[in-house]
Amino acid sequence: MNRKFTPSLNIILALAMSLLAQPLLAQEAEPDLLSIMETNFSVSKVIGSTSDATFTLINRTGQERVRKVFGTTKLEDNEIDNMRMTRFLSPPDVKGTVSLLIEHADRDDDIWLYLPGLKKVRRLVSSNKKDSFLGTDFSYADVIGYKVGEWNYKLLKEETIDTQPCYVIEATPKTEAVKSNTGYSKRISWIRKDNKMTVKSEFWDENGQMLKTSTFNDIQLVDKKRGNWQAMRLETSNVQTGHRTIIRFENFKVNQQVESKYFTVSNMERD
Amino acid sequence: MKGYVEWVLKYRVAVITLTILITMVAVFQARTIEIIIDPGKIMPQSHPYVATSTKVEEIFGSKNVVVIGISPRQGDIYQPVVLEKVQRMTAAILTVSGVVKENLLSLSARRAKNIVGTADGLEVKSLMATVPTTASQMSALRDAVDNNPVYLNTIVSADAKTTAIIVEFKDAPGGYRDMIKKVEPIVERERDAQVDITVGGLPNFLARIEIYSQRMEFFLPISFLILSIVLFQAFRTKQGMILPLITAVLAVAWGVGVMGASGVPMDVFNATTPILILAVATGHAVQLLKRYYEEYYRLRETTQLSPKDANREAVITSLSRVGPVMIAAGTVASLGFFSLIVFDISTVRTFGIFTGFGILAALILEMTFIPALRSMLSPPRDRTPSMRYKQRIWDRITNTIANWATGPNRNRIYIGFLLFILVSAVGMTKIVENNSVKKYFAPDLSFQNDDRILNQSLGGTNTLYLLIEGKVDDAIKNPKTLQAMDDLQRFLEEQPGVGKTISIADFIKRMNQAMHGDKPEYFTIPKSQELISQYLLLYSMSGDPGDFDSYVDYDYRLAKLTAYIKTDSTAYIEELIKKINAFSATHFSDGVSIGIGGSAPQDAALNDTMVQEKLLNIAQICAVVLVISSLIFRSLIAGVLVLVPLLIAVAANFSLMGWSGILLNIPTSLTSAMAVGIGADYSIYLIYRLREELRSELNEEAAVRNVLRTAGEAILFVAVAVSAGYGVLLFSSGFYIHMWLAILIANAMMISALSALLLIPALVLTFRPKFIYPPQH
Repeated sequence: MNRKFTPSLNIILALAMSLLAQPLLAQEAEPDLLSIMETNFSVSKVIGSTSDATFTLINRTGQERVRKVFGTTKLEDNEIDNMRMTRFLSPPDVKGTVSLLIEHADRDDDIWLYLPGLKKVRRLVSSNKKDSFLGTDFSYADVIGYKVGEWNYKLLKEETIDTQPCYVIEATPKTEAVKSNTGYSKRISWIRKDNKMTVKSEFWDENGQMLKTSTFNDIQLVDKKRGNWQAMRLETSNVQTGHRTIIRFENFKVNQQVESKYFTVSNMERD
Repeated sequence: MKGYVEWVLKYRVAVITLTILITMVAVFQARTIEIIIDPGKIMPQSHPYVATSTKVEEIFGSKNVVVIGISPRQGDIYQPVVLEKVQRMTAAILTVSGVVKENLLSLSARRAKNIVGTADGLEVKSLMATVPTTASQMSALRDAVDNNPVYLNTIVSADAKTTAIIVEFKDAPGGYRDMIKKVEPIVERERDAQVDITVGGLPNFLARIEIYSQRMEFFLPISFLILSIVLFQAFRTKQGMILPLITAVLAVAWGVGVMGASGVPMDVFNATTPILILAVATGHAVQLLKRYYEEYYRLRETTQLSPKDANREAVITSLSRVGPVMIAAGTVASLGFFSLIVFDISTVRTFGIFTGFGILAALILEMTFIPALRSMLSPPRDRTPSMRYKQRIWDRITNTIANWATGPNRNRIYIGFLLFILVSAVGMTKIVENNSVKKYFAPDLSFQNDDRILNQSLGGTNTLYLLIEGKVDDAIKNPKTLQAMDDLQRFLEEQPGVGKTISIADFIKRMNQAMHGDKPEYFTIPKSQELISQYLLLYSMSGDPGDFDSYVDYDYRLAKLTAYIKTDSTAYIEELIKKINAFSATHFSDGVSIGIGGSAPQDAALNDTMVQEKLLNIAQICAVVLVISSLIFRSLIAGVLVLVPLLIAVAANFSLMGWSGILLNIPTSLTSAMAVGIGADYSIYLIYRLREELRSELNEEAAVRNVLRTAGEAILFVAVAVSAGYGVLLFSSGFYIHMWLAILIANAMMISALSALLLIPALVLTFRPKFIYPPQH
């Protein structure tokens, strides 16, 4: 009986091997997810910039709060963290309010605020990475980017969004700590094949429920030399609260040679 | 009429088939009927307190709030075992569908922030990101709670012996039971020897109403059984027991079918309406049946007709005699009930329409199906002489009444009733109105106990909202408005019974203090509107976009000030609202208006409208009864005669509430409408029969005796049967709605029956109205 089976078993094994070999071969042609994510992380880290930005916050019932700001950024030497100075231009009652944000990928960011009503600069300590970025539906982590090494990636499929072929990549946190720091149990990103810019994202909260969707439009090449791209219109909707944020950049200019000393507390009080 | 009945009998098979078909359609329609409990349905929507509550809930949420209290048996809440429970339960509740996550509040909720002033600035951090493990972490948490007064008496009690998780649910099709069901396993998992966990909030009570109302499924068959036993005892025949029940059940089915077809949802407060339809339908059926037996035995005992022919003849005669009376009585009652559609409270409208249709259905059935069926059933057995002359309890009662009405001391009846009215009048002054749903249940039930514990330890489980409304955007940022809000809060907190108040002013003050290095003298509203705006921007930079959504609207035109109150006494709330209005008039500037809402004022609103509407409601039905009865008998005196026993029944009903301490609220007030509906029927039957008998019988006394032994006895049957049937609800322990109904229905049935039986013949004999005694030509 046994002897009779042996040859046929060999055939089955051979067949199985050949079947297994196919996906193995295909995987070789598959994109290197880690390198995609690395590029994705750095592609929009411009060396420095100035821009006018409009923040539109929209609540569940459609009421809006519109804030116009003038922003200046400078990338720090580690090529990860930015320094951001943001001056509020409107609405009138907050005109002259300035925030200075020094990002720290490894720890809480430093935030200083100048309130003209108080005529004082105060330091604001808050920000978990999962907290709201300046009161928007974006979190600090969304703005700074997610450390590539802390996530596991899976290519779900490839899809074309607005004529752009994209990878659809699922990211899940490697550790519970990453999950609770970012507040996400899963992210799915649509990443353009050509420049590795994210055009769309979906987020799931720590309880595994859908939390937000984001879209990134009007993506422009802002620095040819460094190969930096920037989305000029960003929108995030919190599907749980029905709250939405739209950020629109205008007059976005890079390489402004902004000096580091600009990003100091004493500079905040100047108009 | 005779021709009509013969026509019905000719096509009896078609009539019965058609009835069965209609009933099947009705039952099919009834399946789609929704049984809901929506407090909005019982609320007068145009009342300002109700309108404000609706607006507040639309803008700020805070509808359907469940409060979970956790109290350690030893020590205070600042121990890891308690805080871990809070954290686990909070996390678990966040995964429950239907929970408004961003409005969840507990020590470990994301929204619970600790604002701290530091030497160089401000720290806004989660109150409890992780459960403290060391003593210093624990005392830091205690300080954080103490320094942010918004959490005091909301999520941590003043004595730190209780901490709460406040959960808000979206409106959901599963009703309140569903919300509580979702919370229960999470609570159950954490219950142990170390802590007591209590669950409170309005949804908990509303869920209990849903659950307890389901006892009807158990009680209804029993009450039918008792009702049929009484009817069997009265008629001594199986048909006498079954036929009235068939009419009643079919009438209820048709009524429910019409409701289902028209898409009107059944609310829990109308779950007892079938009782009324059943009582009215049984009333008509018994009258007709009693007359049938009367005619049948007369025909058998005085003519040579065979049982079959006598049966047919008796069906025709009884229906031609009783039919017009039934139509008259039914029209009066159904018009009275239909007239309730003008009311502001949805549940009252539903009640009116439902009852009106039910009565019409009963009329149609009695005019078609029952005679058709009756003519097909085997005729009754002949009476033996002993049965014929035996004085049964029913006969003895009606005989005694006849003795009084026809005897020399008729005035004693009037004196008796005058005394009764006096006693009732005194009783009516003792009525206590209370629409709090908490009062629907016995106070010793476990969830009542939970509510009491939460009410005592935290700010209070009854809410009052003040909607501060400016004319322009940013009106709330105005320092004067915020100062006035703050002053109002301090004023409210001085009032006994107010356990806690919260508004955006609390946060502004806390920010101002923190931005000034936590110095106590800066725990104030800043004078500059710009600074206030900048604080709000600052807070928004450290929190989530929706952090203030339950305190101010997006345009800063509306703000919600919440006061938590320890009592649900309506009188207290009304007094408090007066004080608030007086205070607001002098403290808020022009252009800022204050709206009042919340659970406590809504109860007051309900009381407010109920007094007016209930009186109006009764007055209206009485007016309809008076007009229609006067038209039917073509005599205003007849109208008044119909009205008298009915008014007495209503008075007795209210007086019983007054004397016994049964609260006047929506469920109990519906029983007075019942008294009206049934009372008119009784009078109309008696008046018709009196007219018939007095015109054909020369001996007045014999005529009255005859009326009372026939139509009168039928009234007594129905009254006793329905009272006994619904008496079973007295055994629905803990659920006061059922117990009240048992008592009040019995009272309404018996008093309407007795006052009609005693007063109608007596008054007719005393005043000899022309519509009964035609002028001699």
